[in-house]
Amino acid sequence: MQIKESIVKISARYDLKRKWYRFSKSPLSIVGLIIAVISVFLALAAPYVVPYPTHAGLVTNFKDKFLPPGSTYLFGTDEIGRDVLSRTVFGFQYSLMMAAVVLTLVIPPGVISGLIAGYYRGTWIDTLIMRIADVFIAVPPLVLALSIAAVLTPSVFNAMMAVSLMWWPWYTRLVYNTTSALRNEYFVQAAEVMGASPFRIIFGEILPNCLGPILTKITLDVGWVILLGSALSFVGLGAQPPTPDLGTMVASGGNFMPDAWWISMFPAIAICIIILGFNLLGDGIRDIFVEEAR
Amino acid sequence: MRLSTYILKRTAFVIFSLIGLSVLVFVLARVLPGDPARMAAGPRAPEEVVEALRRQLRLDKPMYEQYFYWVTNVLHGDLGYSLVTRRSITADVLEYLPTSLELIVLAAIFEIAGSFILGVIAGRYSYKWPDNLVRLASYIGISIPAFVMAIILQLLFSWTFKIFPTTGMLSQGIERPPVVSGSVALDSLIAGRFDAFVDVLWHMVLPALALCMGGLLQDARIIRSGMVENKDKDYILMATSQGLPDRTVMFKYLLKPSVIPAVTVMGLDIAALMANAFLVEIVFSWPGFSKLGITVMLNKDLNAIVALVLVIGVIYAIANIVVDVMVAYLDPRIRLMERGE
Amino acid sequence: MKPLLDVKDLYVNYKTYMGELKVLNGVNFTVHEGEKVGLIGESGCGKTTTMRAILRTLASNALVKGGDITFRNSEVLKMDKKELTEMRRKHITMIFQDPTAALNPVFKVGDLIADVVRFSSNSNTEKLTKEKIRTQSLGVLKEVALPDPERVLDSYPFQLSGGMRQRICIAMSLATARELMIADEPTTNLDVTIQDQVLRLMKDLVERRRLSIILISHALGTVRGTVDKVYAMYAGNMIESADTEELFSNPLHPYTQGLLKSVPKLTGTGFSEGITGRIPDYINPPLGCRFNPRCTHAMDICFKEKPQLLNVGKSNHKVACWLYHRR
Repeated sequence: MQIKESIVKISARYDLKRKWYRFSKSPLSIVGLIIAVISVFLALAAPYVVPYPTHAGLVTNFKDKFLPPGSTYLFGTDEIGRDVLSRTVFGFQYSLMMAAVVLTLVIPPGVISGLIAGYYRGTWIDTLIMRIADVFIAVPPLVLALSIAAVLTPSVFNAMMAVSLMWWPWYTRLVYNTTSALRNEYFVQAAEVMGASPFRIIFGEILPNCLGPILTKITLDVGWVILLGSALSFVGLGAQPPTPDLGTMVASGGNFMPDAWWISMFPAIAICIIILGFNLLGDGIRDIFVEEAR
Repeated sequence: MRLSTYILKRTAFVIFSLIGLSVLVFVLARVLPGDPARMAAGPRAPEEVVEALRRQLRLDKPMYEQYFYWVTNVLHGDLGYSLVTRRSITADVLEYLPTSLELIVLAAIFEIAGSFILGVIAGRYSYKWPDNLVRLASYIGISIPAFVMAIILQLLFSWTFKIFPTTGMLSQGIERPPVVSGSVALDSLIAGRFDAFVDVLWHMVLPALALCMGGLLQDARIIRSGMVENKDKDYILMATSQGLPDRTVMFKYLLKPSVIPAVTVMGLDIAALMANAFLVEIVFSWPGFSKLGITVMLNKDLNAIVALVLVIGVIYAIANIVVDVMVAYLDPRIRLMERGE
Repeated sequence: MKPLLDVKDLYVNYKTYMGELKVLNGVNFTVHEGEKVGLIGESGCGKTTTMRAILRTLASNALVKGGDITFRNSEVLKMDKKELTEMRRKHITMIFQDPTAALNPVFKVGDLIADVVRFSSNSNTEKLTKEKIRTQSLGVLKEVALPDPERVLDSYPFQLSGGMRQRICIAMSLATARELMIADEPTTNLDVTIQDQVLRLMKDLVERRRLSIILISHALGTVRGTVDKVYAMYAGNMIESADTEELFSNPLHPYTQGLLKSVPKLTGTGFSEGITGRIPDYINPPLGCRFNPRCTHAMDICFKEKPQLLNVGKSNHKVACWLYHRR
């Protein structure tokens, strides 16, 4: 039975068409994909699609301040008269950029350390790597991020560094669990017996089978990182004004609640929609890989 | 292994993690660019003052000596001296932490009770409208960060519908009861001040709800999935075939295995509660450790930052142990089987 | 003598997203008091569905489309909740194929048995104390020859072996059963050496307590050594029934003949060819006799009308086949 399962696992890896078919059957996943694609598009094309691109930077327009949502300014204006819609769309740019940078920094070390720790499970390599990872996991993520960001000067760059520094162990743990489970599968043992080097086994046999959980986590993490980033900015440790970061906008708009509610609400809703989109997408990805495992 | 051995093992592990954590934050705080003494003294202070401060903070001594000194202090209950509040950090913590904790505890109660109720209802009526409603709500709820939830709740129930108070801990005119535990709710009860007790509780409702909503909906979904998955299992069929009353089958045989995955997640939930408390307190101007934390962080008060992280780490660790013990108690397979089986 | 259990013309469908599975196609099945009845047939022919219909624990997507089930002169399909619970607690009991899945993994064995004992106690007025429950639990465990019953009560199911778990299930059924025990492939999941032990235990208990038993099994040899009467089932119909030896030595229905020939023999010509074809698609089952696609003797009428389960001549041997009941 186990041999048959092992074979199915290897052959199922490259079955993209089948995976897409199954993915497309779930309406929620499609919604997630659409939201994610639109978010990325907005992030990339921000300067070209918004009505008032200059409002994202240093601009004052006091005659138009505190205008409620209307025809000229669809989402209203803030306390300096800047267009909330344009700034929100630029906010997408910052959020997604943060997610991209953090994940790029975090995934390689996280995944590789997880693979190594899992493959050499039970040895000192395993203990060393996992103990270090456990230290980072011992504190609630946000608190750790806040404290790391706190010792650095508040800026977007440093916020990204802070989040990256505390994020990698989660990948290590995920990959470690998957690798440990796969370690004893027949197809790995077969490769060992044939004389394949550990490098070849880890990256050639084990890693492709971890792709499902890793991909799922990456997608869900986009949402989490954006959440974390906006939380940091909300507190004042991330992007600084006048940068149009979604978290900062929510924070500064908070001063004008409830009368000029639009200054906080629209960026806040934007945050929720991005997270929702990537959550749905992540769920969809998880579902197509779970089917394979059965 | 027996339950007690399990607890010991977990505790030892956690202490080890905390030591590692303290080293990490300590080193980080001192290794990164920026001169803490200069920052504390201010840009215009003369060099001798800064130098004296540096010596006072032992910043001129080697790292391990600093660390050693700091650890001994901590073990004596002295968390150091805050350059910002100009007080012992321990005093700061004791003043601000309990109010945050009472908020977190209330949020935890809401979360456990709420997720149970919603999860069981959704599981019982699976695929019908209560279930679909709960599932939809959980998707949306997970996507709303706590501080956004806080703002929405505040806007709706405080500003628009005027049911709950907007900010603060106590209404005007109600005096804070004498400090015994630091937690206003507890202190009110101890002092017999029911007016204060009710008032504080009323102020806590919205922030606690904002804190727990995401986790609540997520846990409800996990419980619901568990129930739907386990409903068709043979052991449920057997229980029904044996003529056990429906009530027993549902609330004993079905509930227990279904709840275990949710309890497992609770450790992370508590982390989320503690982290989100930071943000939610800001929205509601709740005088908890967020007030302390923000000031300290924006002003680079290193001692305080390190101390805070440690305190939170300890609380989180204790909470995790409690959760792990609960899971082990509920699911005997976890405590009785060797790891990696 | 009126039968203990009488299933008449039972039709049960399952609703699936692809359509309705018309699984049970008019099942007729009788068990008398003290009788030991075997039920054989391949996977998917409806054996378990029939049993679950008797206990009314069918899946939520199952529909009873017609027929009657009579147990001790009561109409099972019309019973209200109270009567149903009473029947399950005190009169009928079922043992499942996989004892590991049948025992709730997060409770101790003692808790599980205690629940059964508590809810099926004979007198409703007498309040059962913890000691009484424990004594009774130990009692049933001893009856199934479990060594060290004290330790077993305090253990969790996963700490015990497969054979022990099945014995516990049997023990639990003894705490309730007064008349009928339904055993759905009770030994299929066990080691071969244990199979024999458990089977003998069941036989012994059934004799001692004078229970009726319905024993379902793939393994023809198991059935042969244990029961007095055998029913053969195919695709939702009982197609043949006879006393055990009579069925095995003189099978009449082409399916039963094929089934018995499929058992590899130690002596002789090795493996047989089996029966060609497969069980029908229940969404669009064949008209008439459901075996007609695979039957080498199929006649015109087999494709038009379903044969009834009728006696052949004066014997107890019943068969549902147009070969024996000419029109």
